[in-house]
Amino acid sequence: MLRYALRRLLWAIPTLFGISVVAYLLTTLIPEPPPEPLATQLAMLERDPASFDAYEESRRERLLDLPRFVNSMPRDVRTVATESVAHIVANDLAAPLAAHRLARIGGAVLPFVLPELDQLEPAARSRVALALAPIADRMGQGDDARVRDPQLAAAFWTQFWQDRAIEFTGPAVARAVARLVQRATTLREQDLRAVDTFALPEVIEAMRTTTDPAAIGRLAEVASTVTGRDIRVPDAAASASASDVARNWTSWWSVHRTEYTAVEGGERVAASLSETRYGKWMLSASRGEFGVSVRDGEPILRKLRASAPITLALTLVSLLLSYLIAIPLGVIGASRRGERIDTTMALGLFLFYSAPTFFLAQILLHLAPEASGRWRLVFAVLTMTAGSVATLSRFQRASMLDVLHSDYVRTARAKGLPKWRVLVVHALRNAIVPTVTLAGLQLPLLFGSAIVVEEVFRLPGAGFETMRAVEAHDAAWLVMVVLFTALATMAGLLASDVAHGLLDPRVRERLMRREGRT
Amino acid sequence: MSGERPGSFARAFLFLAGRRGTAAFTVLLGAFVLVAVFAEQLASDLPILCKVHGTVYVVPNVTHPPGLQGWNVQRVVAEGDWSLGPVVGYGPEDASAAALVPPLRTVHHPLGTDARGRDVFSRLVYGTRVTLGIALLAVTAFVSIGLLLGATTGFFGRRLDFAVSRVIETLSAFPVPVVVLVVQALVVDPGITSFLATVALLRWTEVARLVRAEVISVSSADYVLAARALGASPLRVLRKHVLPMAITPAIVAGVLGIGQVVLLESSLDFLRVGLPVTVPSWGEMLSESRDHFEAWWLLLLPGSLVFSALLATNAVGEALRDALDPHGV
Repeated sequence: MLRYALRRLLWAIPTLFGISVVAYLLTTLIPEPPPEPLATQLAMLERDPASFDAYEESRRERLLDLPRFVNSMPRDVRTVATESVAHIVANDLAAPLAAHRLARIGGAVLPFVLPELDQLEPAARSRVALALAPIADRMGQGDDARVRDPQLAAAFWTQFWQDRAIEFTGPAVARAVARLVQRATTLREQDLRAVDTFALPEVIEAMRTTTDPAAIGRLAEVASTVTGRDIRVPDAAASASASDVARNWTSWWSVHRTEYTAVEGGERVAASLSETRYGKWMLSASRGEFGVSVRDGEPILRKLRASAPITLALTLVSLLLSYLIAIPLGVIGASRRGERIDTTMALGLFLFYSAPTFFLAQILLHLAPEASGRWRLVFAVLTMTAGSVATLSRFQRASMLDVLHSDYVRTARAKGLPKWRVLVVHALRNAIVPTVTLAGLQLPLLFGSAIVVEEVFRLPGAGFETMRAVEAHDAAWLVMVVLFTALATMAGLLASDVAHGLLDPRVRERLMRREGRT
Repeated sequence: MSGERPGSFARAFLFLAGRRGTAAFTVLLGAFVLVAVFAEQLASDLPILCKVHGTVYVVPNVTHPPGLQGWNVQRVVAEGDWSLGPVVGYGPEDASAAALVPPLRTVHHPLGTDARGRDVFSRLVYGTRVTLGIALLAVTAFVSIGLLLGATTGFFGRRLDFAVSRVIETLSAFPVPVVVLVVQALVVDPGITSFLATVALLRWTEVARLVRAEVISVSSADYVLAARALGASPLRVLRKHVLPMAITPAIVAGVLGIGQVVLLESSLDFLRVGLPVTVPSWGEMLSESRDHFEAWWLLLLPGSLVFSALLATNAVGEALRDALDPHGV
């Protein structure tokens, strides 16, 4: 049995992958803005560099600069640095953009720009060196007059690299970060500022691992200074807000990591899959980050936690109720097969089976338009129950009929046992198994009708929330709903199969044999 | 699932009503089709046959001749020589009467009018055409995809079978109503095309699975082996011996599917995420009834049409399944 369950789980992996791809494809239905032409970007930069940064940031946040599924040329700090230097050397149209980009990325580009500086021709060398001036400002070197002097800037940076290259190494930065986490001194903070954004990987990593609010505050201070992104821990902060800040930085890092670090070797192969829109979307979804709602900026998961209990209660109660009604009906129908009670019931259930949920719900609402909250809840459960009672009792009747024809039931009858005892104790015990395992498949269906029912009766559950998201085109919520219902369906199917095998050894054998053949 | 015996409902139902029950539902289904086809003869803003200013017009309600531009049934009756009108002299978009007239109050609007003064009977008639048309298109699309993929994978098998089975498994995890709802909410211009495409892309899996199972079981039957042994080409075996058997579940799924698509379409329209509001459909009227609580006819009339369409397709579909299924009963 365990082997069967394990095998089913293994088969679920490709399905899981497929589900995530389809759910991701839904996010691509939303139209995306095309990139602005180069001229517009230049004008933007000239008018207000901050607006250009905001433009680039908004594209990056929405992953618009990444390919969808495969990234054959993952961009990292090295490629961006080389590309930008090339633009500045060629002094082409895009050169101002390139210079601005270098300055914004900051210290992280230095290891890829400065060693090559000597090989450039003098004019190009000084252009590149001047472009780096804002970085020198942030690193506290801005007072040096040579930084802004076209003749001397290149010499300044060459000397800078000779003196300080040793600080631009992972271990050196890691030591500096560890010292800052331990205790705050101005000197320690300056150590980190001296390498600018090159310190970011270690700073973010330290934020992720440390729990000390004060240390997080110091690290966030450094990160905010070097990136110009103002996410700091307010003074005298509670540890809750410090961990919020840490989480904010780590999720920012998951989008921006490659902007500040080089992707090397095997990581490059992985990056061709992870540095894509699908890859990033799936990684954050698997961490439970579905983004924020466009309606009020609240995280999707928090919204779900607030509204799901009502929907869960609705579906579970109506499922339970349908079983309580459907099983006796199925047993009666099967035991009185063909008699008037069976045929009348079949007709009634057939009507319920075909009745549209929204129609039933709306009629109930018309009958009692002023119903209080509690009554609307009852109506909602009744509407949802009507459909599933019909499905379940039909199923119960069929499986009961199967069992009633078997030899052991005939034996029990021949022994002269009372009719109810044969039915309930002997036959039902076997016949109930397939019906009960059907619950796994019934739940996701009930969620579909919960949307309609909650909307009609104005119950603030996940279905009601879904309709509000539909009105506001809230993609984050809608995609999460699709993903969750699909996962629930898959889990339901799995649970139903495994439970069926667990409860009925004959089914187990048949399943194992079939699995073995394919 | 193992315990399931198909069509116990239909069998019970047949027992209840005899063959007449199914016959009644078949007639109902046929009536829906007739209403959809002859919508113009039932409700239109122009007569079926008329003579105006010495010219005889034949079915101007369908052809809309330029000579009758700006005319309507009322004007033809008043100024024309003679005319033979449709049952109701208003098209689905004519907003000429008072709003929210209840049924059976005036001869002109036997089923009343809606909130914009449009004739309910007329909108129901044209709604039948729209709703059934969409359902037929969707069912044709997903049944043909399912039949094609189910038959080829079941018959030629192996690697293709494996790949398609995984796709089927993945797609059938998505609850169709939820996905269609979300697609209609997110897509740039939601409408009939996006609805049809989503339904077709999601619903074929059920047909494919049924057809595939049937093809696999038939392929190992003695008569197919015999045909092969006689040297029939695989294509001939597929066409002559396998498909005629495997098409049965596809037909049944198609008939049941019509009802399900009608239900889906009107549910979405009810939730206001279906077709654009200008298209007359049953669901559009249902969604209007949510704003006009007192207008019970806007809920009951189209609602019972959806209900009876579902009853008819379910009854006929399950009866067909019993009739066509050789190993059933």
